[in-house]
Amino acid sequence: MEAAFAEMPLALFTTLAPIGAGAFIALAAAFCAGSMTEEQSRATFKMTTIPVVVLLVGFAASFFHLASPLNAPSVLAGIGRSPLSNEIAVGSIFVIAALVFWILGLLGKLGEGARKGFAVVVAVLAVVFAVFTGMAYMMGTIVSWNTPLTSIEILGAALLGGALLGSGVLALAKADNFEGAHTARSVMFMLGLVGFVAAAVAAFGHAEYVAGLVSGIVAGADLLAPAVPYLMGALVLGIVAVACLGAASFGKSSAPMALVGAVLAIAAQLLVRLAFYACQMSVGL
Amino acid sequence: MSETAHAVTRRNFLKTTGALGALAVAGGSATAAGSLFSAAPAQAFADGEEQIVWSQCNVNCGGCCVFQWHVKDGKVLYMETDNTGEDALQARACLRGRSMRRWLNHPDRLTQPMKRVGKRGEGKFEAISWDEAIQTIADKLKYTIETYGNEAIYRTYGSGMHSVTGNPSDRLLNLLGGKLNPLYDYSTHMLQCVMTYMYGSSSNLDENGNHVTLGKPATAFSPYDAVNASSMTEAERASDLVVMFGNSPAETRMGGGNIVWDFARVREAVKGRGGRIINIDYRLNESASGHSDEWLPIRPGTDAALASAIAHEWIVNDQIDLDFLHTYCVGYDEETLPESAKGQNKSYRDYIMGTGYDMVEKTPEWAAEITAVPADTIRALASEIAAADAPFIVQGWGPQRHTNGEDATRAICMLPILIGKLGLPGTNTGQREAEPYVSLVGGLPSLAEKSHVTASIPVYQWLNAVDHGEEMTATNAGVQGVDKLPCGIKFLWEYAGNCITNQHGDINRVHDILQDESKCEFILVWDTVMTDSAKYADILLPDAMRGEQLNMYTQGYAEWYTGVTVGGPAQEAPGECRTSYDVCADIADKFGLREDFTEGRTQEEWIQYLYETGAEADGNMPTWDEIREQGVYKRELPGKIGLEDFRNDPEGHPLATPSGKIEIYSETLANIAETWDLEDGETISPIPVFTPGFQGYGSVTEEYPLYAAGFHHKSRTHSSFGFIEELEKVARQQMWINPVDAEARGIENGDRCAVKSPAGEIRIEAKVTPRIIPGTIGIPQGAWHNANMDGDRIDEGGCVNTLSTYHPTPLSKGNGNAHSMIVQVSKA
Amino acid sequence: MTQYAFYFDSTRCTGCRTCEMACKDYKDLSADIAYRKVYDYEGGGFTQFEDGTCQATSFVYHVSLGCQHCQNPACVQVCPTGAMHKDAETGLVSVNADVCVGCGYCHMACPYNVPTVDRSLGHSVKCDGCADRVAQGKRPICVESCPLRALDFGPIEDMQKKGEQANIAPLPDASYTNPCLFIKACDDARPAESRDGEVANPLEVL
Repeated sequence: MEAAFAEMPLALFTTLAPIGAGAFIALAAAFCAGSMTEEQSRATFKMTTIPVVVLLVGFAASFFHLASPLNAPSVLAGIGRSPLSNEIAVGSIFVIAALVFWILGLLGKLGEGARKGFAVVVAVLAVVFAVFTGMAYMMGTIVSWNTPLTSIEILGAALLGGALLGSGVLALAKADNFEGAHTARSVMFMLGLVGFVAAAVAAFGHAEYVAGLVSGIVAGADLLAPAVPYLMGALVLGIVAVACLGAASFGKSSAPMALVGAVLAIAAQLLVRLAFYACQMSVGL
Repeated sequence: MSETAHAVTRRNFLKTTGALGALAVAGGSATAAGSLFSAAPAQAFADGEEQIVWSQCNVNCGGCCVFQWHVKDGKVLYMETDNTGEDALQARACLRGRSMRRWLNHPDRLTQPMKRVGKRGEGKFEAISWDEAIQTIADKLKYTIETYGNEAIYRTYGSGMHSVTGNPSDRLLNLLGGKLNPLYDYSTHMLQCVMTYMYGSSSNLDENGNHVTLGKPATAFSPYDAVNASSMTEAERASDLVVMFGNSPAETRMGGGNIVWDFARVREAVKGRGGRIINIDYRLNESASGHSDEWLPIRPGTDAALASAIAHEWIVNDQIDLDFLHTYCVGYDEETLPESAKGQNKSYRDYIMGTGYDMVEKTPEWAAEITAVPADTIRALASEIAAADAPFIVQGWGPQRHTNGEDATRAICMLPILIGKLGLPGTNTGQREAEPYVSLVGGLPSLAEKSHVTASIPVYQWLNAVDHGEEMTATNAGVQGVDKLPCGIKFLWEYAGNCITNQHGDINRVHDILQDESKCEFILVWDTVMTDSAKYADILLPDAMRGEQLNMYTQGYAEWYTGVTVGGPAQEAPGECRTSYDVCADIADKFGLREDFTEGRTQEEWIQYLYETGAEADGNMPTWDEIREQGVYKRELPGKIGLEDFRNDPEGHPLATPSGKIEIYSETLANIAETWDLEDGETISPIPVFTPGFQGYGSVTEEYPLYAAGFHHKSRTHSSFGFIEELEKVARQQMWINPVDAEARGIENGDRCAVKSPAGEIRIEAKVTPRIIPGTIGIPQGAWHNANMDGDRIDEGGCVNTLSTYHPTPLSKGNGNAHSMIVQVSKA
Repeated sequence: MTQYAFYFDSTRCTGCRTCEMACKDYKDLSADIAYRKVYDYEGGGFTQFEDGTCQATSFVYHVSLGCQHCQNPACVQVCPTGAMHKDAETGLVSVNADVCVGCGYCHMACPYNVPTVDRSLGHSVKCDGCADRVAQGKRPICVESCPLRALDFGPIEDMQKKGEQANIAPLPDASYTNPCLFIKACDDARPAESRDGEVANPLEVL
C-alpha cells in the first residue's frame, strides 16, 4: 500500500472532485422535482457553498500531485490524445459551469426555468466529468486499470456522496419543505442508493478482475491482497452512508445525518481509490 | 619540465578552443614542480573551455582501464572511457571506474593530516599541520629503528594504487635500512606458496636464471606471468573445452580490456566450433549469466575431492597419459617417486586408488557426498574432459582461498597433468589464465638493495607478529630469511590499503590486539577517505588521488594486449591533500636523504623518465610529447601457451623444482611436514589431497549449520569504492542464500538478516536465489565494517571479515579462512 | 527521418551495470534516478537427492534497458502537455522540461519503467538516447561504455538485422508500444511475459 499512499493527492482529487460534482446532480434533481421560492432557492445556493468547497479542495489536491504546478495550463495541450487532458478539459468546463450556476444562483439571477435548465446542464457535465475521471486511467499498458469499471465506480460514488451532500445542503438551507420536496428527497435517495450499488458492484468487480490478472512480473492477486481490507472497510462505510441517506431523506434531524453520511461516503471512496492505486499493474515492468 | 608535464595541445581541446585557453593551460602548469601541494590545474582551465584529460583507474582489479575526463573550470564534468582505435581493443572502464568522479568529489574525502585523539578504532582525530605530521612520523621511525631495529617496521598489504609512482613507501623505508618483508599476498597467498613446490621455486635458480643443479635455464612458478599458464586468447584460438574452477572474470576482471571481454570471445569461439564451457562454482556466477547450462554447482572448498574423483575415473578407465606422467612428473606412481618415498605407497595413484595415505578409494561416490555433485555427473565430467582434444582447465583464486587451499589448488592442476594436456595448443596448466608478459614502463625503483633486513613473514601473519612476533620462527610461523623474528612489529605503515581490519580477517580480533599500544606502538595510515583501517591510525594522512596528479600505468592484468596511459591532473586535490611522493620526499629530508629519495627528480620528472626509458627499450612507443597528446598507447599481444618450452623440451627447459620436473610428490614438502610445528588437525601433504580444512567440509554444527564463503562483488574492487552510494544503489550488498535455506528460516528476498560465526556477527540484506548451492551462503567481500566496537560489535556494514576466523593455513600461513567459514543465519 | 534504435546482446551481458553508471556519470544523476537500468531475471531451482547431492535448473540473465524510443510510445500518448515527444528527425523520445507539468502519467504508462518524475527538477526525466552525442555523430555513452560490447545503437534498419524486436522476459509483448530495441537472446532467455522467472533485483530497479 506504500505506492498507493504516495498517490494520496490523486486519491483525494478523484474522491472529492467527483463527489462535489455529484452534489450538483442531486441538487438538479431537487430543483427539477419541485418548485422553490426565491428565498428557498437563495438559501439553497448559499449552502451549495459546501459542495463547491469540496469540489475545489479536490481540484486543489490534484496540484500537489504535480511536480511543476505552474505549468498546469499546458495540460490541455493533449486534448483528444491524452485521457488526462480530456479529463481536465471536461473537469474545467464542469467547474466553470458549476461556479457560474452557483454564483448566478447566489445573486438570485436565475428564474425557476433557467435554474432548472442550468441545473440539468451542470448535472450532465458532472456525470461526464465523473466518467472522464475514471477514463483517465484507461491505458493499454496498465492492464489492471484498463477497464470502464473505474468510471462506473467513480460515478456511483459521486451519486452517493453527492446525494448526501445535496440533502445536507437542502436541510441546512431549511429549504426541505418546498413544493415537491418529498419527491426530491426520494429521488435523491434513489440516486444515492443506485450510486452505492453501482460503486460497490464496480469496485468489487474490479477487484475480481485484478485478482485474475497475471503478468510476467506480478500476480494481480498479490497486488490486491493488501488492498482488500480497504475495500471491505469502504463497503461497511458505504452501507452506513446509505443508511444515513435514508435517515436524512425520510427521518428527522436530516442535516446532521446527511453531513455525517457525506463524510462517511467520502472516507469510503478514499479507501476505494487507495485500493485502486495499489493495484497498478503494468503489462511490463 | 613543467611545460612537458602539463603540455596540453589544441587537439585535446573540444571544438571551440581559443588561443587564450591554450595559454592559460600552459601557464597553469607552472605550479607543478616542487610545489608544496599538488599541482593546481584550476587556473589552467580558467576560460571555461571543456578539455579532455587522460587518466586511468588505479585500484586493484588489475584492469587499469582508461579514463578521458571531461574537465571544465577545473572540475571533472564526466568521463568517457577508452574509445580509441578498434572497438575490440578498448580498455573500457567498468561501473566502478565510471564512478571515480564520485570518489574524487566525495564529501568524505580526507583533507587534512590528523592525529588520533580517541582510542584506536574509535575514529576520533584532530587536525594537525603537515609539519607536525611529518616530524612525528620521522621521529617514530627513528625511535623504532633505534629501539627495535628495522625489522620492527612493517608495511601492511595495500594494493589500492596501481600507478608507476603509486607507492613510494617501500622506496623510502628501504632507504632507511628496510622493513620486515612480506611473503605472498592476500590474492594468491596459498597457491603462491605451495605451487613453488610443484612447479618450481626461484630459490632453485642461480643468478642467471639457471637451475642450480641441472644448469639449464629453468622456470620458477609465479601466478603473475605468462609462462606457467596460458592466455585466455589461446583458449579462444584452439580449445574445444574450457573447464573453470572458481573463476569468474565477469566479477574479478570486469574492465572492457580485461579478461571478461577476452572470456566472452573465448565462449563464442569455443562454442562456435562445437565446444563447451563448464563453470564449476558454488554460485551461478556472472560469467555464466545467460549460459546457465555451463554451471556445475559444487560445495565450496571441495574442489580437491571433485578433482580426485575425476582422476579416479581416468585411472580406472585407462585415460591417463602415463608416458607424460613418467617423463615430465615426479610421484604419480611408484616408478617416479624419489628414493626417500619409495615402497611406502606414497604416490598420487596410491592416494587416489585407496592404497596409500588415508586408504580410501576416491570414487565418484566418495566425492559426491563431499562435493554435492552427483556421482554420475562426476563420471560424465571426467569422460567429457578426457574426450576433449584441447581442454583448457583454469582455476580462479577462489579455490585456493580456503583453509585447505594449498591442496585444492594443486589438486585442480592435476587434471591437465594426468591426461598430459598442458604445454600444447589450446590447453592450460590448470592455473589461472596468464598475465601480461610485456610491461612497457617500469615503476619507481624500490631500492630493495638498500635494505639490510633479511627477515620475511607470510603477509597474513602480521597480526601474529604484532601480538607475539618474538615467538615466531621458520617452523612455527613460516618465517623466512631468519630462523626467528628478532622482535614483534612496532610500527605499522599502511598506504592505499584497508588490510588492517576490513580486508584482513577476524576484525574483532584485530581490534583487540591493536588496543594494546605496547604491542604495536605506532600506526600510520594514508588514504583518501576514512576506511575502517584508517580509524586505527595514530597519524592519518590525506592522499591526493591520481586524478589530481600526473599519472602513468600499464595495461594491468589483461594478458592479451599491452599498453600505457599517461595523463593528469584533471582536478585540484581538495584541502591540504598532497601526493605521497612529495610527502615521502619530505620524510626522507628529516633523515638527510631527500636527494637519495628523489634522485633530483620531481614525480612528474620520474614519470617522464620512466616513460622514456621504457620507450627506448621497446622501440615502438610514441615519444613523450606524443603520448602526452594521445594519452594512451596500446597494442595486441599474441597468446602464450603455459609451460610450452618445458613441454617441448623438458631437459633443455626444466622447471625450478629440485628434480626439474612437475613434482606431484614434493620431497621438500614431505620434509616440511615432518619438521614444522603444526596445530592439531593441520596437515601438509607432499601430494595434492583432499582435506576438509579448518571450518571446511564437515565442520558445521548445530550452532553454525551453514557454510559461508566470500566473493568479489561488482560494486567494489575489494573495499575500494565501498562508500560510493550510487554503486551501492545499483548493486546492493546482499547475502546470497538458497530458497531452501531461506524458507527454513522464514527469510524472504530483501529481508535484513543476522549472520553469526564463531568470530563475529553482521547484518546484511538477503538475496534469496537459486543461484547458490543449498547449505552455503555467499557474502560479497569488501563491504565496509561498521560496528560499535565498545558495544555489541554487530557489524551493520556486512563485512565478511567480521565473520572469518583468524587461523592461518598450515603451509603458507595464509588467509584461507576468507572463504572457509561456518555460520548461522536468522532474520534480524 | 531516421528512426534510431538500440541493440542488446543478452548472450554477452554479465549484468555489470557499467552502462547504467556511465549514463549516471554523463547525465550527473543521483543515486535515486537512473536512465538506464539492468534487470536481473532469475528462475529455476535445485533438486536435492538423498545422498546429499543436488542438481540445478537455475538460470539467470540480464536485460539492460534505457528508453526503447518506441514507435508507438505509451508515454507520449498519455502526456497531457506534449512535453513528452518523439523527435521528428531521429525518433528519439524526450521531455520538454519547459512544458512538463510533472504529472507522472508517462511514468505510469510506460511498460518499460523508463520515465520518472524528478521532483527536485520539477519534471519528468528519462533516457534521451544521448541526442546531443548522436547529433555529433557519436554513440550514446552507454553503448560506448559496455565492457562486453553488448550494446549498439544506430538506424533501426541496421539494428533489426542484429536481433529480434524486444521479446524476452521480463519485457512486455512488443505489440504494446512497438519498441526500437532489438535483442540477441541468450540460451537462458524466456519469452516475453513468461512466468518462469522473476526480476531478482527489484530494490535496484523497480
